[in-house]
Amino acid sequence: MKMQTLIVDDEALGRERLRLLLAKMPEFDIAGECHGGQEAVELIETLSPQIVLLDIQMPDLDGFGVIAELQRRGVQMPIIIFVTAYQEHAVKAFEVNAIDYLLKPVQGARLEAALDRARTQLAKDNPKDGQTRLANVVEQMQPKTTTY
Amino acid sequence: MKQRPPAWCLYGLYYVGGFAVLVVMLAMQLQVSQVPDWERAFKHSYSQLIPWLIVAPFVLWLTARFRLGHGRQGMAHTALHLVVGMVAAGLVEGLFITCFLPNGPGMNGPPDFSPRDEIVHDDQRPPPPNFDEGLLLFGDGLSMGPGPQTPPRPALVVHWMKQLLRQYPTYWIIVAVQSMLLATRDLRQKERQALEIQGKLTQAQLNTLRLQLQPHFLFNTLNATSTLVHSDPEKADQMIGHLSTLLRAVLDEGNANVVPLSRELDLLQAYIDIEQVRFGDRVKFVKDVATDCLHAQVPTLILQPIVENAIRHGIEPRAEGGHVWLTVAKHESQIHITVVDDGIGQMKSENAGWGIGLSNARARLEALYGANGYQVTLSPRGGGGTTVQLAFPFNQPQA
Repeated sequence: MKMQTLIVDDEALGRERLRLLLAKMPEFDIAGECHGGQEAVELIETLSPQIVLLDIQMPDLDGFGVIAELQRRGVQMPIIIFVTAYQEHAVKAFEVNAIDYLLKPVQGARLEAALDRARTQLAKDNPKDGQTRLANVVEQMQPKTTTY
Repeated sequence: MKQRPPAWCLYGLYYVGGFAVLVVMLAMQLQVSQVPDWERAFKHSYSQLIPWLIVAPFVLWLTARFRLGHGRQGMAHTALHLVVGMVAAGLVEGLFITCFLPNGPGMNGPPDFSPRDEIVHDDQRPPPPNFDEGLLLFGDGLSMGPGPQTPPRPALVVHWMKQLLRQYPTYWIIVAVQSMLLATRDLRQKERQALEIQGKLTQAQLNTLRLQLQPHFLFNTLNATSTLVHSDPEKADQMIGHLSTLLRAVLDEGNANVVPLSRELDLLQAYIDIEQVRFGDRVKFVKDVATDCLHAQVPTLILQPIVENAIRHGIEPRAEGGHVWLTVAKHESQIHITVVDDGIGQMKSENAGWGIGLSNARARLEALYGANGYQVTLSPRGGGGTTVQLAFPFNQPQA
């Protein structure tokens, strides 16, 4: 079965880049695309994608905000791969053992490696593991969780 | 890791070591010139120098506290040393007479501490003629007959006065050596400070550079361009061109102070073109520039960070996008530059980025025009958004 992937980036060209690269990887299907954090939360809730390629800097709600909101709503957490222009957040994500992060401009090989890790994670018996880890990531990155 | 000994320990070692070297050197000199017997040469040598060993720390301290130098203060310090030098020399000579001349003032017999006595005990030699020998070095023709008898007191006082002058140069040698050491230390300190300042300057320049071109902007642009390479090579080409223009400006002109406004507008346009490719019609840019301002001198890359702020903190967070208006006009002797956006407004923006970008602009304008020569104001725009206004002297380039 193909793995359902959601693309979240506020720049059309950023989304297009990921779409172009994903098109070359037959195991992954694009479940949807969106250009903002709020929309991403809605789509994750309704589409339940297995993997989300998540931009960090976005207008309405940033990448960390998306994860916090998903937790608040108790939505089943997908595997999240951060996609960011600059390593200021990514380094922190790496320190707290995030699933993966990608630096822009996103390179095909690098995306493939990240998706491989995601697939391995999904194949594991206990999918909750990844969820807990990501929750930890968010907690450590955003000590002051935004309230809505 | 080995523990280093404390500093005072080290200095103490230097001090005693230096003293020992001096004793040896003087002894060698004496042995060659006046006292062929090594033992006596050494005895003379250290009996001469031990009083200085005691007095020297005070002299060193005094020299560090009251530095020789130019100017009124330097002269005052020199005068002080001239006087204190006499006192110190007198003290040293007094110590010498008291401790090492067996017939020093108020002593009728050999003093308790006398190198001469020790040698007598050690070597079982008869005591050599002493008083003149004590004066052997002095060679000032003080006429005192050999023998154990007490020399007359007035003679000792005269002797002391004369010998005081003999010790006087030694005081100045110590002062000179200490002054030299202090000067060397000062020089090294100055060099280190200069290096530190240099390092800070470079850091400041790098910070300026980073503020002028946000890494986010750079890498997002590269990301967008890498997409365009596949879907729209023509546009990708243009993006690379615009980005090169900006990078060249940051790298080449980052240190230049001012450029004509027309050049500054070209750079801004390169930036705007990139943003419009990235965000499509979400960012609309309108400029209204008075033609008589086009040659005015403006700080390099002063506009781009302000417009970038307007886009990042005003327009980007708003899903429907917005406008940025740029107005440049001459008002009497000043040039007024206004950047207005209809974005979410500074009050709603969670980012403090505005403050940083503006303080950078303020710092540069202040460096160019002085604290009272410019104005930077940030205010909310009626109906949402933010207004930034810069005002600074209108300067044409010298033809």
